[in-house]
Amino acid sequence: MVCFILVPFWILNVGQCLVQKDRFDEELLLKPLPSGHVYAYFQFTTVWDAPSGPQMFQHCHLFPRALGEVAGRHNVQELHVTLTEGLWRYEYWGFPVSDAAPGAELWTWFRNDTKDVDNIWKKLTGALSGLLCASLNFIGTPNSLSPEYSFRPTGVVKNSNLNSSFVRYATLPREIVCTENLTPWKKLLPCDSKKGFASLLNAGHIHNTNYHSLGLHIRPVCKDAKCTEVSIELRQTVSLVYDMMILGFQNQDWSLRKLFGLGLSGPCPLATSSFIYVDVTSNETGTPYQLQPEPTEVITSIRGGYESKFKVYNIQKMSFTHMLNIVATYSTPKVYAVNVPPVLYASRYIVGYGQERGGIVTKIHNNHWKHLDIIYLENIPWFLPIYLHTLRVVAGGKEITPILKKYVPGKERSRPYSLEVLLRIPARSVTEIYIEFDYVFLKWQEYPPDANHGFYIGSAIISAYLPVGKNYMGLPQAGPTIYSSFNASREGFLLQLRTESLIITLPTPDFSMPYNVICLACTVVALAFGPLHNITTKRLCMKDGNSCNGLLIRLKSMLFKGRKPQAQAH
Amino acid sequence: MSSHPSTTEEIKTVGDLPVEKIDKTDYRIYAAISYFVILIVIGLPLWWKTTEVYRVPLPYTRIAALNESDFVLVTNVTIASLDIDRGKQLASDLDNFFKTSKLFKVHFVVTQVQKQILASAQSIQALELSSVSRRQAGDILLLEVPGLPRFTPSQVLVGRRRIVYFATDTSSVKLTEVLQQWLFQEETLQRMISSMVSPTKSELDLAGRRRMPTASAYDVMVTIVNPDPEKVQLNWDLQEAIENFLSPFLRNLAPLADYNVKSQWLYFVPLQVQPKLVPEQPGIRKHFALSEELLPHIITPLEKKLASHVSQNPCLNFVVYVPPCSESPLYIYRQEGVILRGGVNAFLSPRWGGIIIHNPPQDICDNTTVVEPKPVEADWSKIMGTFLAQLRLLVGVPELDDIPRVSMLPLAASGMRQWELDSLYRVRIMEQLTSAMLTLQSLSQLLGEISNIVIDDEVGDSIQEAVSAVERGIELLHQGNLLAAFEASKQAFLSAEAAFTDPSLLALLYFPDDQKYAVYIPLFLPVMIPVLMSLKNIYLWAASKVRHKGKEKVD
Repeated sequence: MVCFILVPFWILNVGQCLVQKDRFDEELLLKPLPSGHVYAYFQFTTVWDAPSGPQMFQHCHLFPRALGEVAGRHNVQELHVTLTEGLWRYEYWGFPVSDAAPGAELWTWFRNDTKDVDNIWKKLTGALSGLLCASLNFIGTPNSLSPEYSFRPTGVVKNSNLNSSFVRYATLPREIVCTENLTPWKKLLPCDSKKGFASLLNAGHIHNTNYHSLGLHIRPVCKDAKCTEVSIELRQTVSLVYDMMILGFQNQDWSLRKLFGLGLSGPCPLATSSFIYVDVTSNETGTPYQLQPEPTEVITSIRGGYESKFKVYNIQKMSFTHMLNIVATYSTPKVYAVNVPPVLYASRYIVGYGQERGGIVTKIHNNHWKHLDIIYLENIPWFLPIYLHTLRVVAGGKEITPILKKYVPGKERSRPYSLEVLLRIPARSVTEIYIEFDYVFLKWQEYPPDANHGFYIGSAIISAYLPVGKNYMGLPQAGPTIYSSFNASREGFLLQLRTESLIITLPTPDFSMPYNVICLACTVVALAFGPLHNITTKRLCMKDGNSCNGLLIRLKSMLFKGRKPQAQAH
Repeated sequence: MSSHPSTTEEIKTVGDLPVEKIDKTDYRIYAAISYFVILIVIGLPLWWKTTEVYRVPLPYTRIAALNESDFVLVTNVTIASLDIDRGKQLASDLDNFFKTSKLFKVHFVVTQVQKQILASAQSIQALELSSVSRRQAGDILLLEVPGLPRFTPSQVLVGRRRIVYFATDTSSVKLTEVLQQWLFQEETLQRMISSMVSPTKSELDLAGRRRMPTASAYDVMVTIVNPDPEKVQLNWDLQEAIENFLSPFLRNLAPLADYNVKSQWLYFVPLQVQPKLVPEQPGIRKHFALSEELLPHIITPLEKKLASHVSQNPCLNFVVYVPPCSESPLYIYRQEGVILRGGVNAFLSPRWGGIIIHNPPQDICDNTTVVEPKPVEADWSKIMGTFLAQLRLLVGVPELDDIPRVSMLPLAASGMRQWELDSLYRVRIMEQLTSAMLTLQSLSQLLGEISNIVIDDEVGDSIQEAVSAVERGIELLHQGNLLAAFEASKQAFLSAEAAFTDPSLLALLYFPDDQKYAVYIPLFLPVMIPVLMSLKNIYLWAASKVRHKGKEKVD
């Protein structure tokens, strides 16, 4: 039985009737955050009515061929890669459009007919590592999970009967994200970084942010409302959080030039649409700011009971005599209001002392007036054995019994510990999830370079279905663009939070030890062997002085042998 | 004696001492011997055996023997003549010519051809399609056609299949020339083999330099470069064009190797070189000139966007570059003032691919009523025709030198003549067999020189496989079975490469000897010195025993 479970509602404008069956949209969302930071979110969406079958990714137009080849060769149905530096602070910043764990994060759904998923997964990470210049090749079966509940396909599925053995999830919390990742990422865009919004992405102004995250998301989507055919959607995202104060500007005013170093020279000519949205919701409540130039449109979006206002710049309709610079100026110095944290956020830390036993505590804050159902996914590497019986969930002093627990115990060197807990957390509460683990010794070759730096534990993931749209900026499931998220009220809003990644110090040996041990052991053996050999094969006995002809005496006699006859001759 | 009992007693006690002393010395010597046996006789070989690098026994003699075995291509040539005596004469003449050939061993068979078959044929094309034309791969039919001048001014006409038509008055010299230069291409083969065996001494000829190195599969990538989509709009159905033009040709080559065709569009990828503006002159329109020497600089910036992250096959790149109106027409200049011959605005980069410059039509550029981006239509037959010609060269079908009064039938839609395919088979067989042989030999030489290389069972198997495939290939060539020989040579090539490049070979390569000694010496030196020194004692003891026995005997 074939059934499609998703129906798209977006078809913005039916593109010109072209031979090329793809479209490209570029969008930029700018939002001043309550904490005084400025959030800039770029999204480049390519939707391609790719022919299905083995030749799927062979003839590419706007879709990047290099990525298409990787996806096609490895039987990928859905692919999500994020490379992130810094931590998204939910408590102060609200929710981002697209969430990402610190470091590198990769999750993939393989097609149902894939054989030997583990092997293909390894090959896929190798290929992606080459494509994005990241250490994704260190992802393999020993650090990958197949979560049952937390990661469901985000796109169309032909068969609603999902088998979680085709999903793989892994993180590399230690991964450092830098220009060498940005450059290949930009190369995947049809206009490269020559034109359009991508020309704003300059390494110097991206890596001085508090938080930056690159993302690549491939998924199948419905081609039309009937959803009889499937298109491929590629979403390339960049999330940036700027702190205007530490950037050296004396005030909170911001502009494209201040954020990105230069203005916008025009849209990407290959794009079907180019929009810049500026979130001006905070103007109503907080210190207002004025925008220059005037926007082409103002949109009020009511989503999940909350209203937000956006000023929209349709770049394709604007004339470009010189670089476009959108400037936001505060007429009065900005006053910070009391922080109102979002509905749900979490934090995590390590407890315990010494290098034997420890514990992980995750605190989940629920500020909603009603209880919330959440899925908590814990991803623990194999070298930290956790004990399920120590799992305790406490909210307001009362222990909560999880609705469901899914635990896959880890195996040394082959499988991480995976724990999924389905919880109902009470209204206006802080829930504490606690679990204990052991520190273990590793083999000496398993330590990374600079082993004393410590070992990272990836973020835990909290998935929830929020009943209200407050602070929520995520995209609706059927729509790929930011535009489609306006007025997109739903019964609930799928939210995934990533907690902090942790760092722990495992007992670290002295790495010159093996050689020292060899040398010491050899010396001891040699020292023991010498006397043993002597005792058993030799005997100490007296010798009379006459027959005593040691080496020295023999040498002497040899030396003086020649002289004696001479002396006699004289 | 009896008067001095006390002294006898004394002697006895004194005499006891040496007896006891002898016994104890014996024990000590036995101990020394057992040390020696355990450490040197048992210990050393055991240590040697356990620390030995694992190596499967390999057929070294068979690998060495491959060098002596000669690659001979046995080919059957049938001479069909109206007059059997003339046929025989031709056969013996040709046989004489080919006796000196090193690579080819040609068997000539003479048959008589029925006149009515030839008479009934209205044209050469009809003959091509008749039953006479079916030949096994590699074989050739020389067919005498008395009325050949009816069809063509040439004396000899080479067909699309494996037939050479010749007029009755054709000399055996001419036929030899056709066979040697066009059908067998022996010199190319010779040059290829010698350049592989001794790369410093001989070089490949032009055809060999252009030909892609042998592989089991190739990628063919067609790229359309539009440096300025704001000015030029290309609404081309590339996929369909590939399906119509390239795919039929590549299907022909499928038995030789797999070809995966891919395509992509690149925008905003400019030429990295500045073409020279040639101003308007009487008789010459304004245009831009690109000197041929600058062409390699065009490829380098493109390379960044052409690489694949998954495919390991060699890639044949075909690039269509469409300059914007402001930089067109753009022409490639062979040298100062000479536009590339044939008016084809394209060039071939050996072993890489080809680039064609597709200028937008002048009338569209000049027409100011057409707003930018100006739509430009594709001239597919020109673009793909050029690519096909380039593809033939890259795949290994050379441009043949002209021979006076000899011609060949024009190419059919499939783009390949059967005898061209045969000669391609011969090239690939020779290349793969020689390469496999050289790989095996250098591997066995390496194994002799570097003792640290591990050969596990899997690598051992592929080496065995490669050796027997080379032997089988040579044997099949002797039988004249071209297709089976190709399969064997492919197998040999792939197995030899797999064995040579297997990562397990390097497992211990970087474990240097000095580190080994640094670990062993603290143990071995202090233990071995006393054991070896005790050998002297053992020797002295043994010698004294022998002397003692000798004395006893004398007594």
